[in-house]
Amino acid sequence: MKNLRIERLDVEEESVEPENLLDFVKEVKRKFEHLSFITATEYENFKLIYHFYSYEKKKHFSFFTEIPKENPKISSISSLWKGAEFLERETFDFFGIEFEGNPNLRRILLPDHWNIYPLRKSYVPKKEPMDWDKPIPKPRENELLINMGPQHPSTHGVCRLLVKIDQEIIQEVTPIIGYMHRSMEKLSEMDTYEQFIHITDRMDWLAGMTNEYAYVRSIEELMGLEIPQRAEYIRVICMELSRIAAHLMGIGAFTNDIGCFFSPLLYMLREREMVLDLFNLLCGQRLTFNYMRVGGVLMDIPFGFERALMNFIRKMYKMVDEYHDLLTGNEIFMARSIGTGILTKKDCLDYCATGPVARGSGIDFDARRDDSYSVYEELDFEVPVFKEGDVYSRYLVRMEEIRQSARIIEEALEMMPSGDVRAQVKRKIYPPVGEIYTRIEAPKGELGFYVVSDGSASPYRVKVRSPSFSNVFTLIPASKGIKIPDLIITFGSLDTVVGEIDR
Amino acid sequence: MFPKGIAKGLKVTFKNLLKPEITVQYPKEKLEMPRRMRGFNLYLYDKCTGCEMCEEVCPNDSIKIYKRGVKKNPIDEYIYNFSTCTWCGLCVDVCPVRALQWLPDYEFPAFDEKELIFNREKFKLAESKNPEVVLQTLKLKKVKGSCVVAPKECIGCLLCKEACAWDAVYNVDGGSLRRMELDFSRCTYCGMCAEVCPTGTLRIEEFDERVDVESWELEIPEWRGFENYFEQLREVVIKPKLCSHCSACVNACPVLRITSGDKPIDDLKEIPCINCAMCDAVCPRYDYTPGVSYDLMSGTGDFLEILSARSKRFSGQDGAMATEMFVSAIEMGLIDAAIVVDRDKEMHPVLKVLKNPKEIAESSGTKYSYANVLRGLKLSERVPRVRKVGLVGTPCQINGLKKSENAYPYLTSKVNLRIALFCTENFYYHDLFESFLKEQKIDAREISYTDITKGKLYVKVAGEMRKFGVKEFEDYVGSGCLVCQDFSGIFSDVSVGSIGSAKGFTTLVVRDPKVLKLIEYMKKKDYIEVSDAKKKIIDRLCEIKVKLHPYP
Repeated sequence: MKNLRIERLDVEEESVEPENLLDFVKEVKRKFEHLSFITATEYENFKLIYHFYSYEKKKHFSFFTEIPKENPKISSISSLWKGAEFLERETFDFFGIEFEGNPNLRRILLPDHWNIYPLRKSYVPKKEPMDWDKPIPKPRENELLINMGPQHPSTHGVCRLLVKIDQEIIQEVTPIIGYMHRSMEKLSEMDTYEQFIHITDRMDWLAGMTNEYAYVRSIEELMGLEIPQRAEYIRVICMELSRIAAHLMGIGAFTNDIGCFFSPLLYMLREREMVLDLFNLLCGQRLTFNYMRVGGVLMDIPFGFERALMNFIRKMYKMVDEYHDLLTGNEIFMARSIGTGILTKKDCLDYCATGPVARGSGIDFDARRDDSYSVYEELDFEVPVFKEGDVYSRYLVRMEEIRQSARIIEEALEMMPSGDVRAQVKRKIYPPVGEIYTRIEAPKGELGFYVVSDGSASPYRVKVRSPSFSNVFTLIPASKGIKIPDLIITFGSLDTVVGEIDR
Repeated sequence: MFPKGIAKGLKVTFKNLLKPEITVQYPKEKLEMPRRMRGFNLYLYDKCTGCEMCEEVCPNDSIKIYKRGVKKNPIDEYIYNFSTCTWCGLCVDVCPVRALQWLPDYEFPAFDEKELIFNREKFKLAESKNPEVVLQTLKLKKVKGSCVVAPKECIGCLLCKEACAWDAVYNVDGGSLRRMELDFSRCTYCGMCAEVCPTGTLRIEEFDERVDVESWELEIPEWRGFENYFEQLREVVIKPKLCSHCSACVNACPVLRITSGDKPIDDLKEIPCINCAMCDAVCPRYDYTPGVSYDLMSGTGDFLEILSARSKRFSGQDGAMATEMFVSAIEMGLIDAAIVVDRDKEMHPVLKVLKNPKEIAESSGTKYSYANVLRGLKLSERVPRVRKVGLVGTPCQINGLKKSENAYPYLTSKVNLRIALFCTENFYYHDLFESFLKEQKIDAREISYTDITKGKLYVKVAGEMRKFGVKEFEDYVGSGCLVCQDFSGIFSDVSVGSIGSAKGFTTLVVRDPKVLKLIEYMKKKDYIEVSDAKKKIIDRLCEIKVKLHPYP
């Protein structure tokens, strides 16, 4: 990799000396309030990449710094963003880079007993012996710790919450993740570009289409491809259908947590089933589609699809009203959810939260509208924002987004031109040497792919900036001082998917 | 307080209570699945051509093909392991003859993993169970594979022959004629030839199956009985010292085995020559006989306007007009990037493809050593989002570009602005900087400026200007330059140089209307200052060059 000339395609970028990092980031924080991700790539040295975004100026900013491979150390920025703590722990987990000043620097996704750093190029996957002698931090004395999960119905997958309580009041919550880590970033380096698409389906399995699009888009931007308009419209329809399905499931599971055991969820599942049937008609799969391709989509929409879609949209408008009748005005529901699990705007920025969680706390940002991609610029829709920051406002954001998604689909179906659905792309893809970060607004928040190409048939590095990973840690500020049943509601309202947290 | 919200919710519940049931009692009732549903993946042996593409594309090695030799339809065993399959459908998508088909059948669970491993016999059994679907797929006569679309665009680069594992594409050479043949009886429709075809002669399309041979003809340089076509180039051009080091052959070679740099043009022995004859066809000195190219390559040539200009924004050699034109052309959208020659600390020429005006400005100045500018066209393919490039070169390089364009237009289709430099002679880096200047005890690292004007070489070393007469460095002039008669680069869009202008100005010989537009743009934006140039001086230097460098 000596001669690899890396060119960033999307943002202005700077190089920083590792010693001046903390001062530099302090300067950056004045202008760019959102920390998107921190990651590393291995060349001759480790190259650490920090990516920021300014909600006010609507501008990306990224800088990198290089540190030597032997005994890699760098100062932590977790004093500036609390969310950086977990992003740094992830980088430490995969690369073994030590962040000096990180309060809790230990493995986050992989077992504590491992001695290896799997995303280093020198590591070849094999069965690793565990180092059982390695000491694991133990809880301090005189603390009552309760483990919620990993197999707990309200954690929506295998995620453990370590809860420190004083009588019934919660003092501290630590989400412990990694039970479902499938090493997708390493897998991507072993597959070709096309072979990795179907693996992205398995990240946020409730909204496979958005994952696929996020990955495919980054490669298309890297190659500078022009996509046929019809394909873009089909993609938008698929993504919005996915968003509807994901939010339905999110709301349904949340009402389950709040105590309406399974009766509202069945309403939501009924409509979600219609979305899955539409996907089945479109590409023959219900959850793991592998429908997007670099340069377009697999095949054109089948006969009868438009009609079925229109029927569904008409029904969906009515159904959202029905859900509102069923839940929104319900006195018990309101008593439980209003004022519970409050997340301030400052907390959201501090923990790098995005998506409905951030919009429920007054951050007026939606990448579809403000950092537009695909054909969203031509479509007309509204972005719901609520300032309260409690569980109820997050629920309302999702409800309104379902309605807006239906509106987008209706418009897109009307505006869809005829023509090809796949650009002329060769069967084997060799993107030019370069690196890129593109992000989209997934149902859960900012989903981005940072792809590095060295000109060969498989990616040199793929980093997934997953919204759930950052959002799950907002539980720490949101659950301070509340009771255990409220913790379950708060966790449900964040709508995280463990497949996306752990990847 | 009466709970209104709860009452509203209950109303919804009662309304739904009266609606019909939507659940289906599965084993008794079954839903009809759509045609596209990915259920059972049926393999049809009779249609399979054995191209192995499904095996290659499968992400988790669910498909294994066993066969002897590499002939058409020789599959001994086809293993499909459903227990590791993820139903991604890449194999069905890639199959050129539709030998893999999804069936909307979702009921084949098994108690033993081995039952899920299907081979030819098991697939035959499954075929007999679904006769309707099989009949339907067999009716689909069309195949998706390589098909000859535009034989006239073929350049005979033979990459398709290299890519084909089944010897279905090949060439028959005779004298100066080459016949390309595509034998459909051997073709497996895998489409690898279309993948590598640079011109779009072969394309992946849908068509009815054919069994005849398709052939087309094209002209190539005559075979003169050497080992291969590159050896022929060596004997005809390089050994008689005609080579101008323009590196057109480096740009043309489809397998990247020709090298240039600070040494005569050479080939890499470890890469085998595929004998495509492209290097001979693009060489501007290959048919260097009077009457063919002699008259054309001297004088000022056709031009629209001659003027003298100076950049107000940049400083470089004389008026810095090459830099100014590149930057303005990028601003105008005429080009996306510029291929320029920069130098490192020791004055080595370094080739760069630049999009940033700042970087272009930093690389200005004449280099006085051979640089393989045309190789930059290959480099520019690796830079994303570059559709049009501009390049600056000596007249011989512009001639090489012209010859490439005449022979194979696709090679230079990216070039939208060609700037030629007035040139009398050029040097190899090792001749000028290592041999000559070392003899004069000058360290290349301390040089800040070089210039050749009025027959004298000026070198600025550590703040001190030193000059050398023509005769002092006569021996170091490159051999190809001694037969060159083109002073101004008559095939360029615009020629630039100091001759014919006042000090600090650059002469521009404009030959293309788009450059006039560019100059107008620069005038409008007040980037340049314009005055008149003296054509007589240019004409005189053209004559001197013809006299100094007699044709061999």
